[in-house]
Amino acid sequence: MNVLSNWALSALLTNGVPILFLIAYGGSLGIPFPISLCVIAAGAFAHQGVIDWRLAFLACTAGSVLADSTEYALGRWAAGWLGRRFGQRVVWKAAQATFTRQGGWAILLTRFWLTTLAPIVNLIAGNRYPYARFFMYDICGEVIWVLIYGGLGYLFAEEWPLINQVMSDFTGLSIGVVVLGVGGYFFLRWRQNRAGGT
Amino acid sequence: MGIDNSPEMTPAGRGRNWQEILIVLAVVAGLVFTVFFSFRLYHSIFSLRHMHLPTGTSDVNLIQGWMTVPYIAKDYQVPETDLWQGLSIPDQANRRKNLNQLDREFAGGKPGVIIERVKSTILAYQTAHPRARPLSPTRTPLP
Repeated sequence: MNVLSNWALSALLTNGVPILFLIAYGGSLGIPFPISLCVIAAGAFAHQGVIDWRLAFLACTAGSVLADSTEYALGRWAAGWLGRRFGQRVVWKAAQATFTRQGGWAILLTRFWLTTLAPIVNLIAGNRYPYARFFMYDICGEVIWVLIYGGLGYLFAEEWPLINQVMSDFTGLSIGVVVLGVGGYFFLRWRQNRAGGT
Repeated sequence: MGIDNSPEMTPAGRGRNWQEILIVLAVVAGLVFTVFFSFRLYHSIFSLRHMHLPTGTSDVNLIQGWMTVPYIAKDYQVPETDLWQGLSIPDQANRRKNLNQLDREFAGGKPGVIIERVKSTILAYQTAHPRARPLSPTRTPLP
């Protein structure tokens, strides 16, 4: 375990819920805090009676939703510059149209599954996506995330470090599958185009 | 989207080449990630399924440097005063410090000295109070 994880777990033990809120906020902003480790540990600590599970749940959810909204605001703030820079490109317009149609799924899934992609999705959402819809999908996804990670920590309180290992491996595998899927899709299109061109 | 083999490649041709390279890189990276994390996940789940100590036992080897004395006292059901006495450290102003910090301040920076003292104090307490062994200490060491 690295120094940052050591610090985060000790701080969680000594300061409780406020530090959990800060870690959830910072980690969801993209700062490399061990956020998943802390949420799983918080579940285990709640099971051991060290912290109150209701407050821990609220702190994790509020911290991550606030961070997502911050990134959304950043995306909105940068929208003018992005529009001037890329607004006339066909690819950009197509990407925006796709996100407006199916962005809800992207927001929801990146809260608890492909969490590494969440900051990028938040920034893109800030460009055009309505905030009320973003907030609705965001809060649903974050509640699912806290329930899965914190719940696993609570249920497997005795083996929570190993649960953290399983979840981080699962996230890595998911990213690998998605990259492979996207790469495979474009590879097949490239082959079709080449076959059509000859 | 074929590779342009003409001696002087146009900017559009160079762009297509980059696209092809990126696609191949994505496929290779995706494959490497998928295979690597599949093995890790399998190993982690396998370890999880075989990581059960008999109920009622506690393994002091699972004590880690990030833990604080009050947390260990609660988790291992050992009176906190016994732990502080075993460490020969005053509890005032030290309750919020973890074992690594106590190592730096009270063991001349030698890593692991405080952890060993905590372990021996807990073992001594458990020997003296065999029925006080905890049912659910944090059992798994961090990787």
